[in-house]
Order: sequence, then structure tokens, then C-alpha cells
Amino acid sequence: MNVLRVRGVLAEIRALSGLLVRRMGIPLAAALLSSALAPSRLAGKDARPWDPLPHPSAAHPSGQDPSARHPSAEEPERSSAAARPARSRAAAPPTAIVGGKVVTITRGVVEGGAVLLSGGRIEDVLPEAPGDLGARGYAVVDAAGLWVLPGFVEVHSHIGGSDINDMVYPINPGFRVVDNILPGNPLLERAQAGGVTTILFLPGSGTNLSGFGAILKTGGDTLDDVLVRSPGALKVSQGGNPERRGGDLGSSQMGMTTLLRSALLEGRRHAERVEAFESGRSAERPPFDPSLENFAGVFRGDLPVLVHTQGYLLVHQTMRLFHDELGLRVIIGHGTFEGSELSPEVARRGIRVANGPRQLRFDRERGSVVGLARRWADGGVEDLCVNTDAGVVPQEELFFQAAMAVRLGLDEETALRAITIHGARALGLGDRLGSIEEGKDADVVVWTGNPLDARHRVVLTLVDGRVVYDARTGPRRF
Amino acid sequence: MIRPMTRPAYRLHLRPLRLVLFVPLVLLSALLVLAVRAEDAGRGRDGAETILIGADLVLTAAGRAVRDGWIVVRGGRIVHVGDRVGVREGEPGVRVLRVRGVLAPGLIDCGSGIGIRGRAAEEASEVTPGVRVRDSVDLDHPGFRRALEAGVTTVAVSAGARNVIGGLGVVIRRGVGPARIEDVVLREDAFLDVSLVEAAAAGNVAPRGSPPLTIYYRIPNTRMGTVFLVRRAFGEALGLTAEGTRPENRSKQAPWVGSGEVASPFYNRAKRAPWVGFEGFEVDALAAALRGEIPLRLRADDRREIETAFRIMDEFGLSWPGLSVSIVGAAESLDLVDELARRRSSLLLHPGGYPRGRRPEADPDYTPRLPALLARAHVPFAFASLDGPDVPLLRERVALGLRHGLDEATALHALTLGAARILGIDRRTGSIERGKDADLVLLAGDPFTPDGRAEAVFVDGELVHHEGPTEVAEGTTIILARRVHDGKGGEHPAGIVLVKGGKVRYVGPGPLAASLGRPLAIVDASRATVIPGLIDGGSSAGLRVDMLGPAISPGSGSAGAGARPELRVADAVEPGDPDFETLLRAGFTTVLLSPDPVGPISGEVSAWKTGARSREDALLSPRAALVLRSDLRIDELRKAKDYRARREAFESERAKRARSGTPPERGSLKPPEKPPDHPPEKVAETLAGEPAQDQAEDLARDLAEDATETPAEQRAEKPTAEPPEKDDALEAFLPLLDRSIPAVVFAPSPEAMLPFARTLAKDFGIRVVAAPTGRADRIVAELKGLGAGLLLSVPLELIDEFETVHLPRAAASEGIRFAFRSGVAAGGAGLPAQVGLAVRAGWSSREALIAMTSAPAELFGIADRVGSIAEGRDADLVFLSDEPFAPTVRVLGVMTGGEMRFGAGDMVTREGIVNPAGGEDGR
Repeated sequence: MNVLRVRGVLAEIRALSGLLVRRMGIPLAAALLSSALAPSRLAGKDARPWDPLPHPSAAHPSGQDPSARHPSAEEPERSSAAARPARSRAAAPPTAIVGGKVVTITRGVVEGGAVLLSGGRIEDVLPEAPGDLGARGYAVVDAAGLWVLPGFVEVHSHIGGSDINDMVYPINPGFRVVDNILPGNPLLERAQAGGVTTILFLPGSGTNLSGFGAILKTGGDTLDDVLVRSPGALKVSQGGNPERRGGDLGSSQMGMTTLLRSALLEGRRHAERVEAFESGRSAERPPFDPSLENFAGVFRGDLPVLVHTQGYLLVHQTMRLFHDELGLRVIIGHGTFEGSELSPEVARRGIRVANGPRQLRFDRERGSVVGLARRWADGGVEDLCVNTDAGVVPQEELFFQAAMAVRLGLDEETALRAITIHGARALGLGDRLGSIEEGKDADVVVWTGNPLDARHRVVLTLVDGRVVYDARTGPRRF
Repeated sequence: MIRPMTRPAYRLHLRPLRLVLFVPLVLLSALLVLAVRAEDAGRGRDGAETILIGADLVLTAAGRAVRDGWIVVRGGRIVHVGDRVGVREGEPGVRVLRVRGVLAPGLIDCGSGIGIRGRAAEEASEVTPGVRVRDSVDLDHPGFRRALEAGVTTVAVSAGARNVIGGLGVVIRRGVGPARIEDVVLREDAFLDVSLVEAAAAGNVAPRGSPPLTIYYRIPNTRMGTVFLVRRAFGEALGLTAEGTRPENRSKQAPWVGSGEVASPFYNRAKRAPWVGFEGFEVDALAAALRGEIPLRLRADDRREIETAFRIMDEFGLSWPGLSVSIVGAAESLDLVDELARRRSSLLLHPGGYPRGRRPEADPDYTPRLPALLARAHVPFAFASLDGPDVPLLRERVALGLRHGLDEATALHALTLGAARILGIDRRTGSIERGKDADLVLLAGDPFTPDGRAEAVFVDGELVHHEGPTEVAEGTTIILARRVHDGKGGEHPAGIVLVKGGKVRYVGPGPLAASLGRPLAIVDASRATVIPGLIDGGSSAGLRVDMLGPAISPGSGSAGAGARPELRVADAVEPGDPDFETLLRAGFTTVLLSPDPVGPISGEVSAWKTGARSREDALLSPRAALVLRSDLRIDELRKAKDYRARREAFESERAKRARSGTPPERGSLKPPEKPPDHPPEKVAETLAGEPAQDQAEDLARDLAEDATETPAEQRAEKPTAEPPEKDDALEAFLPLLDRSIPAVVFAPSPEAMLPFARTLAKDFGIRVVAAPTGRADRIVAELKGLGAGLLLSVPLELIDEFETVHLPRAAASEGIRFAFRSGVAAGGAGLPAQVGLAVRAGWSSREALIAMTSAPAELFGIADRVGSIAEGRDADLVFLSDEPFAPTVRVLGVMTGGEMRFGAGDMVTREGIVNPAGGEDGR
């Protein structure tokens, strides 16, 4: 009885703190310490509300935002994709990668260290391998002379499935890619061979608001195996590709921005109704509307908005509309051309940037090349990412985007972080992905050397503790 | 939907179509009058006729199989099933049908487009839950008829996968003839189709540059759009959406004006509101489905679509017991079987096609294994032909699943009772059980063998389809066979042959009532295989040597100086020769009597029947071919050709003048020039011996040049008023040149055969039947190119140094028409055994039978009389104990000209009524 009561109390605390975190966007610890801390939703990086976010699976077993669901069914069983723990994770065999140069990203480099993986998570990182690993049931991988890195995180990819551009309407907030995912497709398999273990699979960018993306692992045969979070992010395209639609309302830049703004304002009204109902301030249950349901997560700050934006004009608009007016958690996608000139302004607002696949521009006035990632970094943008926009650029070439950034002036450490922990943080998964740390997902990649050196390649890729690519025994895919 | 418990007494007069189908069968019996009287007199108390239908095997699909079972039908309903019945033939109001074969419940197609006129979907909108497919179904559509012929009595007609939400399906049991709606429509609003497959997004367009001016400018163009529309519609149907966005209000909403700060951008439907024109019932139909009042069908093929279906089911709580949700298509559900079982949803599989999933290389048997796995997991499943407007080949395709572990009982269940349960019509149909409608299909064999064709179909106990004869004249002999091979490659399992006046009148599936027709003679060969009488393509049976002239005497051996084409072997035949009886007992009913190739022109071949009683009956064709040898003087042929040309010219001139009325002007016409003499000695000398290959080629070239130098037509271009002098020696060649008979050509070697055959065929247009010796396989392809036929004689297998040559197989692989000749008299009786050896060595028995029946008949121009079992041919039949060329096969009996010449054992009963099931009347 006591046990039950204690469990109940713990559950209540957890639910309360989870609610606080999700509702008001404050760190878990702060929530437990003080519920009076008022969040600032619109201001700069000091009040950046989302980092670190709670582990989505802790917030909700599905990793989905529960309030995003309509309130009709009384807690029906979760979808097959999300209800059960990933089978592969539970069954992942204990593995120890020993003797390599462990580049943890967040905790420095451990030469000749040992990375222990079990149950699909990173169990421990040790300065040297204990002698009894075999006896303890670990499959030991000898990584002597090799580099061990966390799996790369791609924040802008389109290779998770098919048909992602429904271009009849410019605004499609009711669309989500989770129904389109093809786990284990050949493009994902090649991504493993480039060390990429997680992608944000996005719809678009043929329309202004093309729907909600999903975060996937590249390894695994079923949706259960691969799905990390759906919805993963809202995808918006401010200009460029949507202009090709033409002919309809939104054929001009101001028209498109009007469309986006009105959609987001209606989404915000819906989100407010949801919040009012959930906090008890209102007894009126918001109506089910598949077009609006996911905005609750967006305005709560759980979901980033990845804005396909480039050039000075659009970056400026992105800052104004998405951040200044609506207070959303923005990731500038691409961020090419002169947009990078706004990097101090962007940085001041705590907006994230995922730069690429174009890594440079030519400055005619100066007659010289400008490294865009370097420019963004110089402006102070934190958690700078680089991205491939795969299949525009093959997913396995994410490392090359980072290498290009280095060639154009970015420091190596930032470049490596740009394809690991920065991406994870941008997606709100900084506590789960992006570095080799105890408790994180066992997405670990063994390289022949420094990934930023194009001569080196992947030897072994593990996703959730399972080997998904092994160039030692199987064919080399990249 | 309400059916009367009873039907009008006897509705023959009301239903002319049934009359046409059924009554002629009854007519053949003298019992007809009695029967009709009995029926008239004996209407039961309830006014319903009682029909007894008996079969070799009754598969009830409800867990029973009754051998020699009977079904009692009254008022269209089954009142009894068993191996005994309490009703007797001859009782008033009782009609008895004893059929041969397997009776199963009528098959059910759980989803098809049969009967739909025009578009299957209402494409004005993607979401049309309230439209009724029934309104598009034409009950006169020939598809229903074709379905019946395939044994499918009940069809669930669906709007298919084109629309995201397609409409309300209908279950139709059509039968034939005009029918009352309530008898035909088994279930109205039977299910609602929701499509998650690519087809739902197909056909719609997105703008490129400017919005297209079409209704198809709409979502979905992707799966995302499809799922969105489904979810929104479900939410609306469940009343979860805001009032303002209810579909009936939405059309009034302009997307951008009038609603405060900004209008809803999401629907953008000023131009095209998906729900415009549809009223509340649209939502009501969907709501009813989500409440479980109408079965819901989610069409999903690949794995992600199926998982999407699960996700939607979860979101809207569609997994509770009592709710009928079917996943339709489900090709990639192999790994999801347990999940399907957990969700209590049923599966409607596409029976064929079997898309193999994304990774065929990993598991080539991916989906054919699915039915067996579903059965093991107790997931209810049935089959749906899906979208096609045409006949579902359900039975044939389900057989695929049997190769992958599905058992026959489960397969039949899925096609019948299982399907009926999923459709919610199992109280009416789906199994052969008391109280259900008598919807039956008669299969010639087991349901999933190729023999298991639907021979007859009953709906409500009435015969609605029957492949058998519809008219049997009096005085007909009915031959019941286990199997009939028609000699041209066709087979009729459990077939019958009708014979009258010595001719075959019908071959095919049997009539239904074997007990009908006392004036008929019935030959019960139901344990025998029936083939056409065999033909020996070259025999000397019955030839009396003493009557032959020296030139064609087998013993003379002269090189043919005195050979005469006009000599007829027919004149030397003794029809009473015991050789013929020997051949008859071996199954040969026709022989081509042929002189040996003793001279360049060896004489004429004639065709004889072995079982005839008189010379007149025996002689089938006095002149079936001319035997030539390769040392023939080509000059003779050339003369004949010239002779023919002159005669033709004369005839045509005479005809022309007769038409114009002018008498021929003597002076203007020159007498025919004498044809130039060609020196033929060289040719004859060369061919007399064994010419080497190069010599043969030279010869062929010479011959070809000769023939092209001065064509006969040019030489004879001046028409003559004089008829050419009649020349008997040349006359004999004319049928060859007319192509009315072939030349049977012998040559000392294949190398000598080829140039000679080429000359005959190409220069003179003669039909060649080559009778080569030795390595005939080397020239088969060229002979085929000349349009020649082939007569093979034993040995059929040659061993040539290191190579074993199988002549029939070589000939068959080239596709040349060929037959066999024994070359001997009664010894030809051993030919089938020789051919049997060839079959065992790896040749097809079907082709072997053709080579012994229809092929020789066609080669010798007697195919209109013999060589096959077909309407109008002579009734020359052979009854075999087993399949042709089986190792232990025996000839049980032979019929020629419609008369049994002999019959062995108890195979044949003449002039009697035989019930194939045994016993007096089968009961």
C-alpha cells in the first residue's frame, strides 16, 4: 500500500513538473524549486525557455505531445508506432567499444577509453577498458587507432519517406509526415554509412506551410524502431520554392507572409484555448481540428519551427514574425546568401541556425569568398548546425558540410558540434542525442579517423545499441 | 430485404430464361410429360416445389463434407443436407438432379467494381461518405453474368480506392433474369470505404504557375493530404469539430474575409468546398460507420499504410469489439498479423497480384504466405478482387495460397462462409446449411485444382449457369467420361460426349441429370479416359501384295523406271483383313495405307477406317497423298505444271468468251509451244546414290535456276483455244500442284531430303510431308520454314555417336506439325507403346496425343472426319483405362461411327440407364 502511495505521489510530482515544464517552458529543476519563476517568452537568450528540454519519452510515453491530440477518445491505446518501447532497444546486446579515441563532444576527448552500451543507451564512458568486459557479457569492439563519435544529427532532411509536397494549398498545417515514413529505406541505409543516426524528416518546401516533420533514427526496420518524435517540428518556407506555385493568393512575398501570419495567429488562438482548458482556466474543451491541433505544441515551445529562409529580406522577416511577434522557437534553415550578415541580430534573439547545403557566398564588393557558417558563428549564434537538405545533397555527406565549414573558417570543434550536439539541442533532444554521455541513446559511430578529414570513413555504426552498419564484415556503402 | 417464406408454386412459366436453361434437359426424357404432370399435380402444401440435388461430394463450408450427398431445396431455401433424404423421385412436386462433381456454396467476392456503370467514385469531392454505390450499379451489367460463370454468386460492390472516403457499398446476389430488388440486394449500405492508398491521391493536381481550372485542383496529392482528410472527416462525423467548421457551414465561409482579424486559411474553399451540395447525411453515414452501425473498410496496402490505419483506429477508438473494421488490400501485413489479431479487425485480401512488399529479395514468398499465417492467428479474412470491373478469378488465385501452407478447408471458408460473416450476410448465404439460400456452385473437380471449374451454378436452388449441353436430341448416345481429350490439346474433366448418327454432336461438361432419358443409350465411361481414335500415318495393313503392280510391289526394288503415279494402293486393299481388327483393338481407327517408297513415284496413299463393315464405309479418302522419292525427275513435275498452266489458260479463256458471247478466234491464238526439254539425267543420277552435302546443294541451286528461268506462266501466257491433250500420267500430279493433297516424300538421307523438299515446296508449291530417315532433327527447322509436315517412324530415339537424339521432342520444339508412321501392317499396333516410351523420356503426353490424332488428320486432309472429338466429326472414340501413354494404360473399348466395336470389363453398359454414383437412383 505504501509503495503504491509513494508511486502515486511520485507520479503526481512528475506530472506536475512535466506540466510546468511543458506549459511554461522552464527547466525541470527550476520548476521543482520554484513555480513562481515567470518565463519570458519573447525575449533573448537568457530566458531561452527550451534548453534543456525534458526527455520526450519522460514527458509522455509516446514522445508525442498529448495535448496535440483531440480530446475525444478516452485515452485510446497509443499507436503501434509509439505505444510500445522500441523493440530493438530493449533487445540491444551489451557492447563495449574499447581502445579508441573517444570524442564525446560535450566532455572532451578520452584517448583509449571505453564506451559501454547496454539496453540501447550509453551505460558509461571509462578512461580505460576494464578487464572483465567479456565475462560481463559485453561484445567487445576493438577500436584501437580509431575514433569514436556520437552519431550525427541532421536537422533538415527529406529522405525518410515519400510524397512530402502536397502543393494545392499554400498552408497545410494539418499535414504530417509520420504517415509517409519508410523505415529502413535505401537512402537511410546509406546515411548510416556516413555516420548519420538521426534525422529531422521534413515535408516541403513547395508550399509556405507544408506540415509537420518527424524525427527518426536511420537504423531500424519498423516505425516502432525508428520514430523518435512526431510531430518533430513545424516546417515553414518563407519564400523561394513556394513562389513556384504561383497564381494563387500568396504569389508575392507580402502575400505569402500574410498567409503565414494569419495561419499562425489562428494557430495561436487554438493553442491559447488548449492551454486555458488544460490549466482549468476555461471549461470549454477546444474543438478537434486536425489543422490546428499541433500548434499547441508549437506555441508551448515543445516544437521548433524550421523556417526555410535565405537572404537578408527573409531572415529579417523570420526574426520579426516568428520570433519577435509570435515568440516561437525558430531554427533558420539554410540561412544562405546575405542572411548571415544578420547573425548578431539572430544571435541576440536566441534563434538557431542550420546552415547549408551551400556553405559559402561570394562577396562582390570585397571580391572574396565568405564562409557562411563562420559568419553565423562569428555573430554569436549558439548551437550552430550545418545541414544537407538531403536528398538535395546526399545524407551521408553531412560530414562534408562540416568539413566545408572548416575549410571556410569555422573551427573544428564547432564544426563537429554543428553536426552532433547542436542539432540535438535545436530539436530539443539535447539530453538524449548528440554526444557520448552516460544515459544518452547508444548512437555511436566508429571512424577510421577525424570525420572532418574526407579521407576517413565509417567503420561501424550503432543505432540504439544495435549495429546497423559494419564495414568490417559487410559491403562498404559509402 | 424481406423475402417471402414461400415462392409461387412452379415458376417455369414465369421465368422464361430458366425455361431455356433447364427445360431442354428435361425434355430429353420421356419422363418429361410425367414429371411436369407430377409437378403440376403435386404442389406441396406450401405451394413450393422440392428440388433434390445430389452430387459426388458436397462441401458445406460449415465443417462437413458429404460424399454422395443430397441437398433438399424448397422455396429456394435449403431444408436438408445429408447422404440420405426422405423424399423420392417421382413423388409429386419433386424434381431430382443428380450431378457429377463437387457441390460447394456459391463463392463470394468481398469487394469489386462489378456492375458499376461510369465512374466507380463520385469525383466531385474526395469525401463522399453518403453516396450509395448501389445507385451506380447496373444489374444488367454482363460482369454479373461472368461472375456467375466463375462460380461467384455474391459480390460486394464497392466504390473502390479512388476517393478518400468513397461511399456506401452494397452486397448483391444477382442470379439471372429479371429479379426483384429485395432478392438481389442482400445488404444495403453494407460498408463504407476509406482509402489510404496512393490511388486516393492520384488524379488530383497542384498548380504550377497558375491554378488549374479543374475540380481535380484539390488535395490530396500526397498521403499527408489523404490522412488529413480522413482525420478531419472522422472528427466532423464524431461531432468533435467546432460548429463553425461543420461542413454545412463551411461553404459559406470565405477563407479570407469577414471573420475578424484573419480568416481561416486552411480550407481555402471559396472555389471548391469539398462538402458543397452534400447535406447532413454525408456526415451521418460516416458517423454511423464510426458508431459501428456500418462496417468500416480501410484500404491500405503497404506497411506504412496499414500502420497509418492502425494509428487512425487508435486515435478515434475504432478497436472495440463489435465494431467491424476491415483492412482491405493489406499486401504488406505479414509482420503485422499479431497486431491485426489484437485489434479484432478482419482482412480482405486481394487474391492475386500479391505485391511482394518492399524487400522481395529478403523473402520471395512474402505475401502468398499471408493467408496461412492469418488462419493460424485466427484473423478473419476473405478475398476481394478489388476495383476491377471484371470477373474475379478468386478460386484460381486463392490456389496460390495453398502452395504456401493454406489448407483447402480454410481457403474455401474464406471464399464462402468467412466472407459472408465479414459482410454480415451469413444468415442468408455462404454455406450449405439448413435454412440458407440454396446458392451452390458445381465444380468439376476439387475446388482448387484446375479441374475445379464452375460447371453449374444455382441461386435459390435454380440453375442459373450451366456449361453443359442445353439440347439433347432423341436417339443420342451419352458417353460419360472421367476425362475427355479432344485430340487437339483440349481436356474436359468429367466431360461427356454426345453421339448421334455416327457423328459427335457435343463434347464438354455433362448434363446435370444423368437419370434422365430412358430412350438414350448411355455409355458409362466415368472411370475411363476418352480420346479420339488413333491414326497411323503410314501403314500397309490389308494390302494384298498379289494385287499390286510391279512398280509398287514392295519386293520389286526397281529404281522406278516404270513408276506410275496413277497407280492406286486403294485398289489393293482387302477391307476384311484381320490386320484391321488388330489395329482397332490397339486404338487405331484410321490408317493411311501407303505404298513403300520403291520408285521415284511410288503411288497414292489412301485413308481407311479400321472398324468399318463395308468397303464403302471403310474408305475414308481414296487419294490422301502421293508418295514421291527424292530421285524423281523434276522434269515430270515441270511438264505437269506446264500441262496444268495450259489447261487453266484454256479454261479461263473459254470462260471469258462465254461471258462476252464472242466465239474464240482461231487465227489469233497460237497453239501452245512445246516446253523446252531439260536434261533430267544429271538430276536423276545424282540422286540415285547417296549425294554428298555439297552435291545436294549444287543440285538445289540448279533446280532453282531451272525453275526461275522460264516460269510456266510466261511460257503459257498466250491462251489457247485448244484443250491440251489429256495425259493420265500428268493428271496424277495435279492434286499435288493444286495443293489438295500432299506429297509424302522419302529420301535416303536428311541431306537429300532438304533440297528436294525445297524444290517441291518453293518451285512447285507442293505441300510436303517429309518422311525422313536418320537425323531428321537436323532439318526440322528448315522443313518448318517450307511449311512442310513430318512423318516420323521408329526408332524415335537415335543414338548418334555421343548424342542421343529424341526426334519427337526435336520436332515439337520447332513447332512443326508431325505424325507417326509404322510402315508395317498389324505391327503398327505397337506404335502407341513406342510413343509412350518417348513420353516417358520427357515429352509431353498432350503433344504425343496430338501427333497420333489431329496432326495426321490435318496432314492428310481428313480432319473434317477424324482425328479429334468435336462436333460433326465421326464418333471414333477410344476408351482408355488411364491417361494416354501412362505405363499401364489399356484400351477398354473402341467406338467407331457411333457404334461400340468392343468394350472390356464393366466399363460400358449399353441401352441402359446408369447412375454414375451407383445404385438404383443414387439414394
